[in-house]
Amino acid sequence: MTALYERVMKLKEKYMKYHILIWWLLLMSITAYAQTGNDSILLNERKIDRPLTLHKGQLQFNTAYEFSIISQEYDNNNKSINRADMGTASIMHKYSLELNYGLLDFLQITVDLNYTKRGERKETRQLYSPDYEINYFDDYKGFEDLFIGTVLKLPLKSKKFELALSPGIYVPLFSNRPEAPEHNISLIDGDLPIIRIVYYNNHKIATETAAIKIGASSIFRASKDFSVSAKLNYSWPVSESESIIWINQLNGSSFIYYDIPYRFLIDNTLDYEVTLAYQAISWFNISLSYFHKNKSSGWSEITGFRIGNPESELSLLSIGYEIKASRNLWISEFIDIPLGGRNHLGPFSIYLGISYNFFPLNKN
Amino acid sequence: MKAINPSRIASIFILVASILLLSDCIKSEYYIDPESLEIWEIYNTENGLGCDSVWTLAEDQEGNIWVGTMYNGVSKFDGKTWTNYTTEDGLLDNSVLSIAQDGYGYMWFGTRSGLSIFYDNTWTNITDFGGVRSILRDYDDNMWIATSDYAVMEYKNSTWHQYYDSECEWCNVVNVIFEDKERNIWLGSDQDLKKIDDQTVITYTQSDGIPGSSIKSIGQDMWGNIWVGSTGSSNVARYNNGIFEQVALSNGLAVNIVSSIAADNRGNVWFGLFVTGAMKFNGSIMESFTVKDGLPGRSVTIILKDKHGYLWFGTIDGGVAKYMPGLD
Repeated sequence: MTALYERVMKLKEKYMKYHILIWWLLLMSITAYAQTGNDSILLNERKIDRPLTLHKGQLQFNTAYEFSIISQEYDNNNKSINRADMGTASIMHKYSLELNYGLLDFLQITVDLNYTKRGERKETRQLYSPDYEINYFDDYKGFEDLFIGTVLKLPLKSKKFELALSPGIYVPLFSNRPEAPEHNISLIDGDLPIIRIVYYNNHKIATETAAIKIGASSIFRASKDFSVSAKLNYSWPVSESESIIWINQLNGSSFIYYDIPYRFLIDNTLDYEVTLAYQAISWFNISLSYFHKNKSSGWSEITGFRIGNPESELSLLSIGYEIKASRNLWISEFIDIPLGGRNHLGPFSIYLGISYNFFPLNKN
Repeated sequence: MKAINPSRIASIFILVASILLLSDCIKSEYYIDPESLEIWEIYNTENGLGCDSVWTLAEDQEGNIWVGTMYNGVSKFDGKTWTNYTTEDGLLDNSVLSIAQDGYGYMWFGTRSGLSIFYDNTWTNITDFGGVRSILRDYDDNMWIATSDYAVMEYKNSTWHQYYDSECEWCNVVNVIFEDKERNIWLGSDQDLKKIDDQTVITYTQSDGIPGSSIKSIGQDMWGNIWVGSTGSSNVARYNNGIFEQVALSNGLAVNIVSSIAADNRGNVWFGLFVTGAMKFNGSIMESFTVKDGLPGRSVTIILKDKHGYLWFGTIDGGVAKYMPGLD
């Protein structure tokens, strides 16, 4: 027994520096998984009854994956163009991570980060004398700007109607400067030799611009199982920003590149969403949403001269459901169908989200 | 919790909306309409241009576009209206080959009969040097003119200085004068190409890699390369570090006349061709632009990039076109 005690003491001495950390982790895991009064709120609360902000002390991890098929786009005259016919349809993968915490029963903080990847092939062109086959590929990937926001629920008396304001900022955490292009040129042998050029351009997703967003959201519970909710957001940049474009020159059989800085101003964005939701079963909620987004007022000096960004719009119809798998775990799935737009891609998207909820600092 | 008066909520929304509207007003400033990209805006005699046959184009400090025509003097476009000047107004000759503005704001017009200088509705005509094919205002505000009788004349410190090649008669038939970013002066003649810096004059001929004998156009791209266009070849020449490299125009013709060279701000170089429209070189391939694409005429005599980035194409048979390249 004495020997065992000595061994334990030796181990304790060796790992003393980790002592506090181990105890903290142990305590956290116990508090996180212990069922308390707050957890019973999560267990009993149906989606339709959830307030616009999280409960005080509630921590929510949301992760999502969105897969989009971009087979159409809308031109300047709102006309739909079928990209599949031109062989330029593309797919997009988007991964989201959102962290929400209820500071008070009417005040929530939010941190949101998305990673997107999309490849876009343009129409192949043929030029003659000599014969050229020109291919274009644009690779878009990277993190979006980090969003940090709050949701403030207004103290209205009614349980049927809630209203919240949601100001926030986009933090320019990630670079918007694209890597150098990866063009290549090759001679394709045959009866009629062809020179094939592939223009492969890299793009980033982040704008590296600080922007402000203000928003409002509301919900009206028309009956026990039916609600109408709406969201309105407006965001605008705090300042101009700078990025680079690459120009190329063919030197023998290899490309050399040169980067040119340019300034730009991101668009102001106005979006709104109206949702009808029906609580079919206590753990199953279905919804139908209309979403509209409008972007304008931005410009770019990418040509060396200030050119306004074309005003763009997109309308989507969203159909989906949420399943409450356990008191902590909610699973949602949505399909977004493009209805119309202007100067915008029209993605058909499938969204899968998982939400994990708990009270890490439970006092009840 | 205490309930809030709905009118107070409405007031908050009105306040926020007002701030948004104000922020939008502050940001409104001049920029090019994106819908004007890749649109060919045509100007000809129907909308006020003096003549549809155009020799040359220039932009003055105020942003007016001046068009030198073959048969009907010079036309000024202020963005809305055209004003025409001919021999009836005091211009020396109605065939205007070159235009430039000096450091004092005087407009210089090179004509078949000599030089006309215009300022404040007053014309001063100089016929001593013969016809004037090309005019250049250099970085130091000295004026250079390529003349038919006296080779190249430089107007510096109120005095004319002559550049004459006594060993090569055809070398004095200078078609184009150009200044590069390093302030070298380039003279393109019917026989050779000369590069003049402060100390030396270097002469280049076909044996150095110039594609044709008669040099018609010189330009510089964003990389600093000097481009040389000539007559009688299917190629243009790219000059860098003392070496000429020939680049095929790839328009299917064995012989071209490259009348003009201009660079846009995306690294593209544009070549005006006297017979077949224009070519755009993006660093690796040539792309053809013809009447089918929107050019108003088959023969491009001059390409000018204005201060807003628009390219202006002067043609021999269709007037002038204004064009903003797309973002691709």
